[in-house]
Amino acid sequence: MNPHSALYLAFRFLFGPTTDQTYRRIRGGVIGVGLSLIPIVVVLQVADGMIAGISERYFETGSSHIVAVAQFTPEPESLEGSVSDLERVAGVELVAREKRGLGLAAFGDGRTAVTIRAVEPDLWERDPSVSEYIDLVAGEWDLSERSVLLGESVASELGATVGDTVRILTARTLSGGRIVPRTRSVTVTGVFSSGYADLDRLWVFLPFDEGARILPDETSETLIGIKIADPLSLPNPLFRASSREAAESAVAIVDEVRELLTPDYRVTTWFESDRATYMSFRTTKDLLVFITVLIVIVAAVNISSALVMLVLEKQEEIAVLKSFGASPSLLVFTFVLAGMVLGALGTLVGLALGLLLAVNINEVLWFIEVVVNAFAWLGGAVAGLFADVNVTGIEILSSEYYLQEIPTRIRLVDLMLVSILTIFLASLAAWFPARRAGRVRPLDVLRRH
Amino acid sequence: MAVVELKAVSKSFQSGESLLTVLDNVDLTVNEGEVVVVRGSSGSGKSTLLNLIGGLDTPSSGDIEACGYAVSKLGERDLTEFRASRLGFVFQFHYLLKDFTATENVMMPAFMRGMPRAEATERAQALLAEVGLSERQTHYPTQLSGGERQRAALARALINEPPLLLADEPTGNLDAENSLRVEEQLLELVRRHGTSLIIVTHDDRLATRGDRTLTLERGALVTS
Ligand SMILES: Nc1ncnc2c1ncn2[C@@H]1O[C@H](COP(=O)(O)OP(=O)(O)OP(=O)(O)O)[C@@H](O)[C@H]1O
Ligand SMILES: [Mg+2]
Repeated sequence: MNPHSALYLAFRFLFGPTTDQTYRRIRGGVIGVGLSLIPIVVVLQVADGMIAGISERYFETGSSHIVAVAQFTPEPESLEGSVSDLERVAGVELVAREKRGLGLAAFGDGRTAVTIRAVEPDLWERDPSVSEYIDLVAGEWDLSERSVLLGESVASELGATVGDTVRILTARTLSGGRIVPRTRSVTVTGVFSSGYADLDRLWVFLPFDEGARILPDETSETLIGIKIADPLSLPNPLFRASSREAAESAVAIVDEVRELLTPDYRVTTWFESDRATYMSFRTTKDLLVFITVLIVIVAAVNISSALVMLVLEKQEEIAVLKSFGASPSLLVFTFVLAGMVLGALGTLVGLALGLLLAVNINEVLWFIEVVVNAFAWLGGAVAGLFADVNVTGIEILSSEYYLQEIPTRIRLVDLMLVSILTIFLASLAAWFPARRAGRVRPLDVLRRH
Repeated sequence: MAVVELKAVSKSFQSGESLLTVLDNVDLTVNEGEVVVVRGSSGSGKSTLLNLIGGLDTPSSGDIEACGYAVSKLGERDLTEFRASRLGFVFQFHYLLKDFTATENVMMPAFMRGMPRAEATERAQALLAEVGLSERQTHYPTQLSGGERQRAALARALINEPPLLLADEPTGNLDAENSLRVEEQLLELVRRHGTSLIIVTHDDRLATRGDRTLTLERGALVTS
């Protein structure tokens, strides 16, 4: 058997000059596979982008890359000492103190529970990723004495905005065990958003010293946030380290930090501090990938039916080739190759369409939003002639649900795996009808003439 | 040396209740380079005889040996090898592949066997020249006349230089003039290549050009 001749035959059977009707059926298979690939390509590219976008927000603005949580509230001098020790660790780019605890914010009649984050007042300038991921919706980053920055949802809950004086309530336990509230009036200097509502729903920022004063030890904790150059190289199941050396040196930093701070602090990486959240991203993605792979498998059936037709149409050719010494395996291989070629064409179509969609996902969603809202408005206007209706448009890209903008990441490895999988499925789908080509008895066909 | 040897070969077909015996205890020996003409009325079993020798069908009883292969007892793999290396077929219908040019049709049996494409193509072009089709190499079957198609089919049958050629009414679909031309070429080629030929024909003129003429009558091969 000569594999080269099988490829030659496969191409001629598919694209030969007289293959008009065959061609239409083939196109069906190719388009079927192509369309079926769109969901998986979009999911792979967009899901990765979204997970990366959300995760980065979590560890750039929330947990930090490596976080050390004090077991007991440290004395200010000891905390300073730990910070300067950490600053000397090779690979550490930024060290920032934070006191974090629960409280209540009140303004006028409104009140809401908040997570008080008492941070270094100059964090905005010192940590470029904070200013990158946190948007100041109003006002500015001003954490001088008696000032507060409100998260967007807290601000709207309270109805407070820049310039308003809000009260922050915390609880204090007296030596007798009695709990008394403590109130502190602070002025709103800014309203911020992290771009992901789940993350900053309860956040308010206070200056570190202010927070240290008003947050009781029982309901708060003191942390030291540490940032390094390449946080994605820290051990985690979501992202691949940029290299093995990067992973090793990231782990080395964590080890050294642990060594320095144990036993006074519990040291965790960003993944460890929000494991459940990150794992749910991962599970969601896995589930989506699973479903989209099923779609591709179903589409491979298109290849199978295209091949059934092709084998039927080429009965005479098969019979003739067999009587001239083509082996059954050569013929089977020929039609498996035909399926493979169709699968590869479908893959090209699917990758192109899927990538086009994935790269422009924000525009596509925006477009859907506009169209849906236009129809909603139109429907509302028509309905408004007859009744009093109030149409509210939809906002797909709202930070209420997820990110304001979906970042797309193109990962060639994933695309390659998808292509291999698709071509494999197409060949497998082709194999069943191809076996029938191998079993054709020449005389049965030739006698028909 | 015998290229083909049939010993007590019978072939019957079951059609409904009745059993139709087409070949009844046929013996036949064809020697190297010999041209044997087979004649007989329609339905006498001429095609059946060729199909058995070519391994397209199996006898009900008896033994067939061709070019050292026990054709009637071969498995799929050996049968493939036998057809690829020892046998050429020409049918009444040309059976050229319609999506392939004349050259591609002719080179295909060699290419499938493992000959590099360039070499197979070269050999195909030479054979097409031998049958007078050098101007038609890149033509598709639909662009060829009936006679030209049959000549291309003849070239294809000879591409692997088989010691045995089976031709079943190769000129049956052609007019007198084209028949003559194809027959001339067929005979000339087999003589030149030393190929043994078993040819089924209704053509009286051709009958005289063979080394031997046999007639199938009521299941038996008789010398005429
Ligand atoms: N597969 C089959 N099943 C049933 N009967 C068959 C089969 N093959 C051939 N026959 C019968 O066997 C007989 C011989 O057929 P064959 O094709 O060999 O005749 P032939 O001599 O080639 O005739 P023609 O000159 O018309 O081509 C015919 O009666 C035909 O109907
Ligand atoms: Mg016949």
